[in-house]
Amino acid sequence: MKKLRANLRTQLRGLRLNREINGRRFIPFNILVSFLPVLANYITIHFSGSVITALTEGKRFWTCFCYVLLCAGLVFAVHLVRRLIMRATMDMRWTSWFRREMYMTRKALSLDFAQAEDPRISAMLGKAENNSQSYNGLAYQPVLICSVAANLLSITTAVGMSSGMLSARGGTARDGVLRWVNSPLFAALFVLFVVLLLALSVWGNDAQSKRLFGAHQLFGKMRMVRRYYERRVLNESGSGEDIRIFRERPLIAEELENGISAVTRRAAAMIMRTNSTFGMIASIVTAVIGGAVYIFVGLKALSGAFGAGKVVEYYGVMTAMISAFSSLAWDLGMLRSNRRFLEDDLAFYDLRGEMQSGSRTLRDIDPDTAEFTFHDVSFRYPGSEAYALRHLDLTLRRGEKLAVVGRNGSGKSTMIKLLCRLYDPTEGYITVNGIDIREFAYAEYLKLFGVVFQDFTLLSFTVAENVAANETYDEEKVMRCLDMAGVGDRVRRMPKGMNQCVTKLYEEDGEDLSGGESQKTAIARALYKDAPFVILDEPTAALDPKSEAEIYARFDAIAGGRTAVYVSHRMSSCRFCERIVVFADGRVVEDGTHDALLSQNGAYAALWNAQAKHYTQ
Amino acid sequence: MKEKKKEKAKQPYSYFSNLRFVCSEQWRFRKSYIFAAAAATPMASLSSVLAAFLPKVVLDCIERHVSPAELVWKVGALALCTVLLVAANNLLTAFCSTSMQIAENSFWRMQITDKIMDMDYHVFTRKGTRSKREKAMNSLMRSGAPGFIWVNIHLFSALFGFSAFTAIIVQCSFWFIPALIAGYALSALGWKALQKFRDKLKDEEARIRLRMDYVSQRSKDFAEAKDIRVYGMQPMLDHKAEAGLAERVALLHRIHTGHMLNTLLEDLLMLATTIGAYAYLIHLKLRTDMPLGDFALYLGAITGFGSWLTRLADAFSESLECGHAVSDYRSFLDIPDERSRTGAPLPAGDALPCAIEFDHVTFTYEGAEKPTIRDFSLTIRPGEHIAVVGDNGAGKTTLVKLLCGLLLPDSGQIRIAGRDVQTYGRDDCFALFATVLQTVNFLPATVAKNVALCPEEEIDRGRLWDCLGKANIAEKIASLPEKENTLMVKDIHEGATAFSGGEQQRLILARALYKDAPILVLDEPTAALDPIAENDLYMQYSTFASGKTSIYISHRLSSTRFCDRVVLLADGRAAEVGSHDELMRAGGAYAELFRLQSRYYEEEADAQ
Repeated sequence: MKKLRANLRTQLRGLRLNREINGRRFIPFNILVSFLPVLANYITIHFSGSVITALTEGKRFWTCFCYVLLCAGLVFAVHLVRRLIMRATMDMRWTSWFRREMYMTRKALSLDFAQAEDPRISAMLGKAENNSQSYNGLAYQPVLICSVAANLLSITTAVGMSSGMLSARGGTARDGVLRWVNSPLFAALFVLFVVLLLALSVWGNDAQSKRLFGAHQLFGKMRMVRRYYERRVLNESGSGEDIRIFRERPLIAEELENGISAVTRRAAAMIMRTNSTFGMIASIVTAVIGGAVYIFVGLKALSGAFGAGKVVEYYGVMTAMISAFSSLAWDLGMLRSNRRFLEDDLAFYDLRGEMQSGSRTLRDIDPDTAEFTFHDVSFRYPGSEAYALRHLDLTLRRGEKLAVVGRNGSGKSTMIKLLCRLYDPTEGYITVNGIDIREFAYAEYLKLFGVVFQDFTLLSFTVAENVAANETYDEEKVMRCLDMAGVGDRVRRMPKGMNQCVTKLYEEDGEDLSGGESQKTAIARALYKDAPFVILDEPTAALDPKSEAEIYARFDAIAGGRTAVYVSHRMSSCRFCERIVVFADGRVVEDGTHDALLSQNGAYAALWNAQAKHYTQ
Repeated sequence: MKEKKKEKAKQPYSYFSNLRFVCSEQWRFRKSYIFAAAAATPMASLSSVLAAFLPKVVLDCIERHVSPAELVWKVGALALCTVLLVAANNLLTAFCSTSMQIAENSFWRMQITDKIMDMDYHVFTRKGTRSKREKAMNSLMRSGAPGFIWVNIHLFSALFGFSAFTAIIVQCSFWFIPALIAGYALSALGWKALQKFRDKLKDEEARIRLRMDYVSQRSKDFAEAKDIRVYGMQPMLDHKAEAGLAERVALLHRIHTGHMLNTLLEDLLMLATTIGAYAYLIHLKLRTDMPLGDFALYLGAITGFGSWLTRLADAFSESLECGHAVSDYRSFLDIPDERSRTGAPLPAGDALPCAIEFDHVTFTYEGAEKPTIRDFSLTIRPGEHIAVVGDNGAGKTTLVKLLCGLLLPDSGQIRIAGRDVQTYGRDDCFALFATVLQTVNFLPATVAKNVALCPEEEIDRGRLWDCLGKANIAEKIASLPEKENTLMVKDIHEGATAFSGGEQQRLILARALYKDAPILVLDEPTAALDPIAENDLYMQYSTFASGKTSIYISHRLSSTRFCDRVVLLADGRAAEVGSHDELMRAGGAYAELFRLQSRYYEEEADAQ
């Protein structure tokens, strides 16, 4: 009982969410679209009975034909309404994937970065995505609910129409058997028989849908593997070279055999077993009940309880009812199986941003004099045991050019992420001009930074939209920033100038930018923000010497009077920074000018010499 | 438009050729399916035909006032037959559909996969091949190539039902048949017009879909998450999605209006059929002494005839479509090899390490205006270590692909150990190279498999750990709970370990070392490494590469110091060739580049 209530609550929450995504009309319209054809069928059944009755009673042509016309008119009216509603539902149905996607996207965008990067949460997103694509959970629920509702309506109608069937009695029967046919016992036995068979079919459908569900889960996993191979390994931008040079063919064939073929065979065997047994039960039950109904109404008719017309009508009604029952059983089983998916979806949609965001604005400090201090900051990535930062004390002074160096994994990029509040410290705190950064409204706080991350990305929208990070922008300023970053001329040469899209992913006439050009565009984006802090994280890793030199040469212009933080593996970058901090094991181990640190002959000197000696020998 | 027609005209494989092909392939994979499918052909229709007779039998019994026993046994027998047919049909359908699923994934798809991995690389990367591959992949979707047999069974079964119903209707009046077919043809015209309309909008639809995909993927992908948040791009993305949705709704609404009109036309036709059938049958029943059972039978047959027509037409067009899918599938598999798989024996013994000669090599990418590599000549001595430098896009990676025989030069020759690369067997030739390329997609398998790149039982654990050690990643791997059996690729395996960029670069290096081939090619192997790790690699380079001919591509000119000679690639040519010192003395473009990069380090030297 408790379980039932929990299930019901989940379904209701799912429905509410569906209403939010697809709109108010989605469910009622879909119910109507499923039920109206059933209704038309009942009308046809009823009138075909009437026509036959009229015929057997020897009525004239026009009397019979009137029934036909009445029936046709009613049926057409029902269909007319149905088609109109159907157009609306089709509009809704064929965009519901879009709408779900949009809702999911909005949810994903509303999460904190820490959440977005949390493997548990990305697994949740992955599940929700998978559900949406493979039509499970939230996506499947409305279909099932509408079908349940339509089937219930159908059964109710059928019960109403066939109410006379059991009680009808013919008085004329003299024969022993036919007299017995007229007795209530016969009707009761018939009902019992049908109910037992229906129960069997309900049980079968339920069990079938439950078992199929398991198989579908296997298929889902298999498809994921397949998609990965097809999109990442086996297509033109995949690993064609490696596959050949390293002769990966046998390995990949084996992996695919284990990951795809074997799983398919297992899932298919499950489906085969389930469908052949339970599917058979269901179809046999339907056929047996069909025969039983005919025998029952036939015998009743023989006993004179009703005429041939009613035989046709009752049979039609009963057939429709049986199919509604078996479909209902299927739906209920599916609803129950689908609940697990639905719960996964709900878990994702229930996520809320957790970052605490204060109410202070930048007016509380003078942004141009902002000075950041890390106070004994330690940090562990969510789900990780190891500290990425350990007791970090560091002050970023206003107006200075700071180089951050250190080995892979020493905590440089993590420090940047904490500074931008993509994460909050596990221990310790960060202040700006003495105020804890958590006291600022997050959006407001971010105005302090123009960042070019190591793995920065440009979107495939227009150059201008990328630079301004907005659909409306100041054209002159965009161009100024592009020029400052050194990519202005390239953009001017594009056919549509700054309105050209970057890459062909969004607009077919987009232009591809080289690594250096993208890098510079990202720098222009950082400049457009007019932020007092400019942070460049490994901006030259993929660049050829010329582009690298160009960025170095522009560094002063880019930084202007701002505070600039430059993170790099290329030690040469330290030469144009006034202060260098060296990270090791999540802490600052050295801090000072290039000359001072070099003479200390410590960690900095080791890094410097490792690279410089190749250039200076 | 004309081109489209032409394309249709030259369907490379005929219907029967396709049927034969699919049957023989299926025969090769699993025979039982073909028998089951053949047996299923008449089942589905037969039970519908029996069901049509059921009301007649009952009504006849009632009209003739038969004894209850007769009614029970007649109806019972018919019902029993139906039950048996339905059960058998169910069993066969379940068997066939699962067999089809298995065949699709374990056989049909594997053939394509194998072809992708096995065909000539230069053919594979051709533009024309890409669309063929995509079509072949699509040919496996719903009732594609693997379903060809099943689709044909649908067709035959529909044909059977259609004939049976025609036979019933003809008993009452022949004229219903042409009338019904004419009505059906009318509605088919409507659908055809709608389809045409849809086709016209198809590109538009695909474009909207792609854009929407793009926006939603970017928004959810956490590679973009930082930039989106720091720059507050959420509203822009949201607005783009809204705009896409609005466009799609507008587009679909037009299609759905067409759909509505068509279905209404169908409803009207159905109405006319029903009214006509009733009128005629009532008339007949009143005029002649037609039994009530026949009235019901004919009525059912005439009103049900339309659905058989639809089924028949659907099955027919489905079989055509499916035939196209089979053709798509076959055209991909039938792409011929252009390089010979067999050839001269590989250099061994004294011929190792190999000498490499580029002899006036020119190469132009398909559709490119100018050659990427032009008239490139270079002789690499056995065991020599060469550094290749040059701007982004100068053709360094192309050069590597040409050397490995992945791409074929338009003119000129590449010789390894004195022989044209193309005279070696295609796959044998790959044995000569171990490469570290810039982009690598790891397989969703264990670290060991990703490094050794061979099936589990062939992995040499000792060598594996040795190479992991050389690549400076052994410590990290040893610290993982599953060690070398740790799974990679987080998208697929929930418990997989995500490696950082630097760690990935080391794994790729370990992979090349594990292969231990006579020619070592490294393309930017240190971009993600810190200075000390980079230095370690430089220091160990002579050990890795000893006894091998090697090519090292990098933007970090420091790397040229431990190579015997440097090649500066510019405009597809070897602009400068020589040792670092020679080139510095020559004071050309290389010297310029080197100074550009070393300036910041050298000033330091000056200062001291």
